[in-house]
Amino acid sequence: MTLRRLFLISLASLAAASGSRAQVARLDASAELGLRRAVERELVAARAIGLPEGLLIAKANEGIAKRATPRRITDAVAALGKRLQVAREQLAPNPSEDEIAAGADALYVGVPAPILKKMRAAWPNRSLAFPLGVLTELVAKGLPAQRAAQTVTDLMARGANNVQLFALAQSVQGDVAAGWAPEAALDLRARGVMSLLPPAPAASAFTNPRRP
Amino acid sequence: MRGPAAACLLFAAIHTAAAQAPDEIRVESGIAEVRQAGTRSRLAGLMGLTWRRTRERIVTTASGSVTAARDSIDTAQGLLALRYQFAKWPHWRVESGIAGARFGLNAIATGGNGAAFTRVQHVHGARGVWAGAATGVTERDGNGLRSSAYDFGVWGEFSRTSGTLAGVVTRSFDTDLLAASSRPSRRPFGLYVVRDATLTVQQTLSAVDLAAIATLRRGEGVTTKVNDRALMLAAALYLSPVVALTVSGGRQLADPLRALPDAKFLAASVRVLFLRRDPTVLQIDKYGAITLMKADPDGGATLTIRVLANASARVEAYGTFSGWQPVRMEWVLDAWELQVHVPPGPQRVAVRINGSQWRAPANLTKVTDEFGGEAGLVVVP
Repeated sequence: MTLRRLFLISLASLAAASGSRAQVARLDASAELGLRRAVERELVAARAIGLPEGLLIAKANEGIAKRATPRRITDAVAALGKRLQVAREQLAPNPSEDEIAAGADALYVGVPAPILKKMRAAWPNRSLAFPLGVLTELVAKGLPAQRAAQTVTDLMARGANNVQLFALAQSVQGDVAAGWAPEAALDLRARGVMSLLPPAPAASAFTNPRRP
Repeated sequence: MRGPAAACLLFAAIHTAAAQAPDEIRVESGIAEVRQAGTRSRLAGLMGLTWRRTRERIVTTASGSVTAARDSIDTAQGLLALRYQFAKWPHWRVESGIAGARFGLNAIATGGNGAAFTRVQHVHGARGVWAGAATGVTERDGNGLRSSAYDFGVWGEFSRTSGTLAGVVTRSFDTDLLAASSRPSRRPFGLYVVRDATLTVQQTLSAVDLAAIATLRRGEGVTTKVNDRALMLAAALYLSPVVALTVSGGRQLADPLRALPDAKFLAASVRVLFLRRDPTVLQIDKYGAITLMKADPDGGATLTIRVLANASARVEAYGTFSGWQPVRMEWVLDAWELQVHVPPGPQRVAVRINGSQWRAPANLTKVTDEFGGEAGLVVVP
């Protein structure tokens, strides 16, 4: 029994080790040994807490392709690991890998972590990957994160679909390129999308009762 | 005689080691140990300035350098070169330039060299061929010694490796320079001819550029034969996109056209880009580099990246769709174009022209990354 258990443990260890090597092998072939080891450490840490390793490898390969120094690549991979962890916590209970990645992107451009939690609360049963992508794009354009998040959340609460959110982001991009202030462009385009959506559910009216 | 021209050799070697990038002002400073045939090693301090400006069809390069060694190696030299791309024949380029050097600034040894060259290049994508001619005069001890050369070659880039194979036939009356080499069995007399075959291989790693230059020489004079070979190695370590440490070493054979002596050397320098004016910015601003998106019925979308640049330019795109590996764009009608299918989610895209800095297409949201670069962000529904 003991021998059999040892054999199984050995097999599991070998499988884990070969899995680790397989992940590292996906790194760009030109990665230096020191960088390869540093990334492997980050992968082991990510694997231990169930974070998607592929995103970390992709980040390392991006740094290699852009000829960044090994130190900078390692720092970027470690920072991404932390953002992924925060995103997963904020998007609990069962975020998909796409959602975690989109949340990490949003955190990178400066979206505060609690906003992710609010968006999850507003849309608990649908994927947040695309709305978070739109939010990331809006914030990267220079819009205040709170304002952009409120607009996206309002649209989600009114039932806006991904195509409408995409149209919003594209329209704002065009307006900003034409010289509009980002906030003015967001207000205008959000009202345009709102006009196409069905009225707010009755619950909202109770939440914000209108005075006589 | 041999000492002063060593300065030219040092900077030629360092510039060979340096990765060339358009539109930049580059300052290099370093130190080198040089040993010419039959002499002791000398230390030299180096300072160089290179300016390069790229416009739609003309690339202008000017450089100057000073070498200080408190002896006859002291040298000042300059170079001005123009490369022109024909609008009517976009695959053809003409490159011409002049170079001059003054030796012996402290009057221990005096002299100078002037040279002019012209090359015609036929460029097809990342590969091409060229043929050219050059002439030069070296003034030494009041005598003018003429040299001329014809060169031809091919080059190509394959992923992260690039290579050049060149042939040069040089005819020269500068017998003193050849006599400085240890190889001729007897002092040459009168006109002599040398034929060089040079293979250059460059490899780009994550933050390191490596280069190897091997030369095989066959030659004959009136009374002597010159058969020789040489190898130079160089490396550049990028500490950041604008700062690099370069080291180079090996041997360069005498070059009568530029009055470079035969010498072994080991050099180290720091290269800093103080200003980098990017032609991509100008061309994108002027013509537009855009990314269009069309939803695919089976999910995701097709991104069409389009750049309106010169037909003979080298235009590339990269991004999350390519794992950040540069992808050559295709010339379609009147613009450079690349179509890629991408899955739903955030996608980042950047383009560059003629190896310059990566830029976000003008109609996408610009985002910076952890590595100092920028790209355009588009979220595919």
